[in-house]
Amino acid sequence: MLQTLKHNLKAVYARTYVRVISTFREPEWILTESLIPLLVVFAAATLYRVSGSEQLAGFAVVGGAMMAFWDNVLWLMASQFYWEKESGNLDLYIIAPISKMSILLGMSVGSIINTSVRAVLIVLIATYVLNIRVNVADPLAVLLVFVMTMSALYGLGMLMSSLYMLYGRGAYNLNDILSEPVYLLSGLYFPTIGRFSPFPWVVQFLASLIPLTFGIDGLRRTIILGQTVSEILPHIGVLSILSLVLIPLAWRTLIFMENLGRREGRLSLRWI
Amino acid sequence: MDLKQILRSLYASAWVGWQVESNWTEPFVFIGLQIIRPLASTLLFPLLYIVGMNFTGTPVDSTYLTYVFVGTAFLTPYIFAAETGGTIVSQDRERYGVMKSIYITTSSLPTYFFGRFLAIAAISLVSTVFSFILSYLFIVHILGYSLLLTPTSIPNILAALIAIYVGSVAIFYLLPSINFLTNKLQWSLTYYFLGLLYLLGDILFPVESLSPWAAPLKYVLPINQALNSVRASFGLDIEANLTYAFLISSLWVTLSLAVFGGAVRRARAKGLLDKIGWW
Repeated sequence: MLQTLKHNLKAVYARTYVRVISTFREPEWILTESLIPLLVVFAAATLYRVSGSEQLAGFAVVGGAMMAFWDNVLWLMASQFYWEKESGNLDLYIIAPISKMSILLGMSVGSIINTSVRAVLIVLIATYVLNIRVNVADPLAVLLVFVMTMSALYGLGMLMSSLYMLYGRGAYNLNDILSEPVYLLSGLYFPTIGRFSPFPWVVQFLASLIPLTFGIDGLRRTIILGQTVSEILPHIGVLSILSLVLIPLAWRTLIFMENLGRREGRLSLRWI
Repeated sequence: MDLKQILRSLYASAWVGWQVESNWTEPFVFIGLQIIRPLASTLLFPLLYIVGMNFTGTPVDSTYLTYVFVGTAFLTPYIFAAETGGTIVSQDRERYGVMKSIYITTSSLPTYFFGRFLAIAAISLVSTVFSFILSYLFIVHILGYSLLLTPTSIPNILAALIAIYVGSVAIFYLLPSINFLTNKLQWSLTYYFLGLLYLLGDILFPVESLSPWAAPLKYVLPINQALNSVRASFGLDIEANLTYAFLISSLWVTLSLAVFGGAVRRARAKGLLDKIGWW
């Protein structure tokens, strides 16, 4: 039992290490990749400014930082087992004496570390250039929302990774489909839930199932609008429920997809 | 190469383009990629403007809402050109390993790329029309805001649309030129480019809003005059010159073809036309 735990913790560390070290080996990419969301954040903030709602430019900055996490979940979590299958690593993961959840957990931790650096850079540069007024009244609330968002979001990433394990080229297309619609629904640049949402309640409900939606809204409220823990309890509640549902679901799905792949002989099949 | 052979090459590469963009996917995925995704892009910024106004309690200015709506709807062809143009080299060279095979055929790479562009142009036209209509219906009939679209002349709208596609050709040759010489940017080039367009392309706001120093860009980039011509042909009171839109877009096409030719020659000289892996 203890030996199994030790093996799995080592696997988590190893997968985290690979992910983190591969990014920091070429640190210039951290800066250049931060530029991509920044350009659109500047455009969104300028739209707010030109239209006379300059005080909301901070909304776009928070959204831009969180956009990095969503892109990371799509391209470096959901599709990861597909990449691994292409490069021949998936077989090795399966024959290793560890749970595949350890691999997914390591991928998640590594991704969160890498992307947090990018997100912090985006926030710092955008806040400075756009002269955003940050209003953090309760740092604990910010931390709590961020941790809960990461937990639920990467739980979704683990679930998608399990679902994508048997996918071939279709993974690209699914990721493409999920990018812009999620940018829109999750409210990267403006609130999509609550009083100011432009969407009918059905769409708001569906948007709430994406962890990013309540996460971004909670971060906006705590970072820009100065709200405290007591005011964002619904956000913490929803994100907790999503984490509790998504992570066990990812585990079950992973086992199901692995068994299905074994039966159909698709675990090491490339070019499908 | 005679005209007949060029047309055959164009047809073949357009057919490949159509297969890559559509038939390799399921119908659901095709609709998702070609309709839902552009629709989300088109709605994103008009809704940002509406929410911003509501949040601050300021009335929505229908003229500005229309400006943003037309800008984002007619950005779609540029997005398609940038997305495929930004990945075509990595797909054909590294992923499928067919770039060298295409190069050694009697056709030329510019012809092959133009054929691929034709496929993209056809698909993006459908996407643009659908996202324009569906976004209009959502903003006007579901949200209840008015969009001031009074088409002054259908030929002018069509001409402005053609100018947009001429500019898209330039993008379609320019981005692969960079990717021929490096594979470091294969994932990010499209997004850098589109990010710059959002900032400088008169899509969400006139470029001079950034700084008076940026105003000349209105006459330099291949997008600003074309988008403003579409807006003018939809009845918006905006400074636009359709002839200039064609002229500047055509200049960009000439420039991008020259850059493309140079990049291919350099890639061949450096042995990069079939180079696979991380380098």
